[in-house]
Amino acid sequence: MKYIGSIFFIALLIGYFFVSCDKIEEPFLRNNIPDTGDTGTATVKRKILIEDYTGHKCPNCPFAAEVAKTIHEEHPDQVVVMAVHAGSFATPDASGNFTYDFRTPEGNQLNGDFGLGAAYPIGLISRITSAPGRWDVQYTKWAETVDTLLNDVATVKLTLTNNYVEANRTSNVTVKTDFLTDIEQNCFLCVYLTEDSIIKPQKKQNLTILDYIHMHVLRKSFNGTYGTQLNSAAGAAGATFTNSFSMNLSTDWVDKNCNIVVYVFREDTKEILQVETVKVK
Amino acid sequence: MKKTLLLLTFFTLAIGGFVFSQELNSNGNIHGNFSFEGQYYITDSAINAYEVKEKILSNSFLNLIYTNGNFTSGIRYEAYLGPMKGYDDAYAGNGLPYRFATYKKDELEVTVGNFYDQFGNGLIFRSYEEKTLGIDNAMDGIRVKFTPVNGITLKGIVGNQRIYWAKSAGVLRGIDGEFALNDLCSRMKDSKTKIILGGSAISKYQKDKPTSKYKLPVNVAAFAGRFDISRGRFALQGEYAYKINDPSALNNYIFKPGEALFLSGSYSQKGLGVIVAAKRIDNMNFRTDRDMIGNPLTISYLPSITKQHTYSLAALYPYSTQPNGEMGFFGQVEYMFKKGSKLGGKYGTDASVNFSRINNIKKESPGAGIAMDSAGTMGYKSEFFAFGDELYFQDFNLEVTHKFNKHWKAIFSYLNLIYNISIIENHEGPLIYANVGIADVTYKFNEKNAVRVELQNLMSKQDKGDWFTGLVEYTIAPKWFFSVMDQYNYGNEDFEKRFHYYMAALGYTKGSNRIALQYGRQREGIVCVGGICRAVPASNGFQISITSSF
Repeated sequence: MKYIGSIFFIALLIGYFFVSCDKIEEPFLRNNIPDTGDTGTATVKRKILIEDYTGHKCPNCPFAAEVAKTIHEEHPDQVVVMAVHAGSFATPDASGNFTYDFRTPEGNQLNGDFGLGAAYPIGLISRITSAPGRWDVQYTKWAETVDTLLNDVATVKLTLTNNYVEANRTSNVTVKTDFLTDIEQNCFLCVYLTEDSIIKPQKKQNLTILDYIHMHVLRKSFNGTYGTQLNSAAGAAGATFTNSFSMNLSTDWVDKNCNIVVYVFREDTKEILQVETVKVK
Repeated sequence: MKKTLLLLTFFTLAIGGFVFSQELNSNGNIHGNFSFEGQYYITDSAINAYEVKEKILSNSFLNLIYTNGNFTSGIRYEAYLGPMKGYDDAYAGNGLPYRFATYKKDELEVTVGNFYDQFGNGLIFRSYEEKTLGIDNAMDGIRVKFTPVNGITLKGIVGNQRIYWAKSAGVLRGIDGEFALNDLCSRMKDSKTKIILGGSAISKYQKDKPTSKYKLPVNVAAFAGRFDISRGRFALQGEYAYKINDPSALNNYIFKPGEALFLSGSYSQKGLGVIVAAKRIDNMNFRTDRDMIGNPLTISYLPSITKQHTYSLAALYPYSTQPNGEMGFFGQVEYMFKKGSKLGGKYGTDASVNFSRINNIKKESPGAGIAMDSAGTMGYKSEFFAFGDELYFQDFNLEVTHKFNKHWKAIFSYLNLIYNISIIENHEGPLIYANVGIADVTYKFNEKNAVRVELQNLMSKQDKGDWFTGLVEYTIAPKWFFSVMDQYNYGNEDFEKRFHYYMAALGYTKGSNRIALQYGRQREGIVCVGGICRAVPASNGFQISITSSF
């Protein structure tokens, strides 16, 4: 019995050196968050982009669209949705209900680059990694994944100015990008156009809904799939970039239903740091 | 075999780069096991079994273990080409994710590479693999076990955890000690009371996230203490665990410490067994990645105390442990009516009654003007012994096993379940009340041939309504079995969804080799093992499974 005490003592000692822990005292908020200054960061929240990869012939995709809608309704100021029609479920048929082609070269490229071909619906949540080397998130996990980002502090601020010339259906958008923290990686700015309320058929399980309302449909990019490079090496805190883009709207699109979606992503991790949206008209 | 030996030797030298000398004798042996499971998928959109582009998906693995004296090493090859439905797509691929080497020298045992282990019941650390759930959080690092004297076991671990084909960014460091007092203390050597005490501590390191607006702890530690006391027919066990502030995605970034308590007691004598258990879990989600959700990268293992049912309809509504908070208890009495008694008949009758109930924990706001569970606060206050008002799960069940004569044997079961679908499955729905009756009758023609019939009926006014399952299985011992089954959702309110899930299977076993073929529909549902669950999508098709060991 005599050496039990000493062994306990040794174990505790080893435990003390071995195990470390950081007890955090209140307040739990960081006090070094930049919350004043020219950029007005106090009001900047990180916004989250849900990319819903979908297709009009995909039987389960309407469920994913409903999940995206619910998340958007819960966090209207912090969540932006973009529906990317790509893959075999989006391939139009020669005849029948599904002859319309929702696909875009940008969407096809993203679908391939992120390896999303296998099973739809699937999504990207601000392109954060869901597993090493993977970005895809099942729609049943979108809400949980968005929740993990809602409390993040914005690292980039985007300010959009849109000037729509109705006469020639031209959208002119100017984007001001402010880096709020140092980001030691190349960053790119992407400007996309989406359209709401497109009424076209959609499969839902074994039914075909002829008057389905397609929301947030990716139509075209203003500056290519991967956009415009903002910084050659590092986006230091305080760096600001201003870029302008314009696009003629196709006659097939309803201008008052169109939105401009702008985001900045890191080249190394592909993560979307910030996203903003504004209506075209 | 020579090639395999060479591979193992090479690997053993390669993994650690360490050198030690130990006498190898010529009696080394290699053993292992193999498993292949593959399915050809048929599109059956009526039951939500959608097209599988690859048509065929399979999961397989091979374990190879080499033992020679005090030295053991091993590897595991795994292939998910592509992962079967219900397994995370992140498993897609093949390779050698598991390799280890262990040697033992006197009081010291050293393992490098991968290992599975747990401290106590696993409340603060359990590294394990559960193929049916797609869980594998194997450690990759170093484990040292030290037995200075008989009765004391000290264990230290350090390493990363496996996540799919990669390793966690976070690192785990831990220590565990177990003390068998009867071996240590001469006065207790012959005591009828046996006492074992244990204590453990673990810490995870995960780098800070500069974008978080909270001050995040990068080192999070947890501690646990346990006892195991037995005297004659009585046994009592318990473990308490405490975890410091660990804001995470699952607890909505609150800073409250976590706690868990498990207690169980049992009494057994010939023909009678009684077990009672109770538990409380409060904010005990613990992972190497604070932002991880789902099943990967768990450090703590919070076992369920509810009974794990095996009949398909009894397991239709299984309970899943709620790491953010739950309180419950469990009781079971098993009694054997003696041979020759009125109820026992010629062969005796086994009867078992079991009850468990799980509620939420009682919570209050952590301070004036602070909403409960708000991120960046203490989250809530909770009295340790207070049950909350919300019922998560309740299960009352009876089981009677009786052998009538040389030919007939039967098991009858009844279950009454209450299942909180909105908490357990995390989607809206009413409380589900279900009654299940099961008859499992076997008729043995002779030593070799037997037929077994299973009839199960589940009645519920909620969810998908009533179900019936019928199964007939014919066995020619010890090699063959054939079975047909139908699961019929006859009480679904939606007439169009009153599906039949039919299935036919046959299997052949010889020695340690087993091949089984199956064709039919599988309903979508949840598979749980020990309170940890996985959603299984519906499927239809041919399935083949091969298992073998040597």
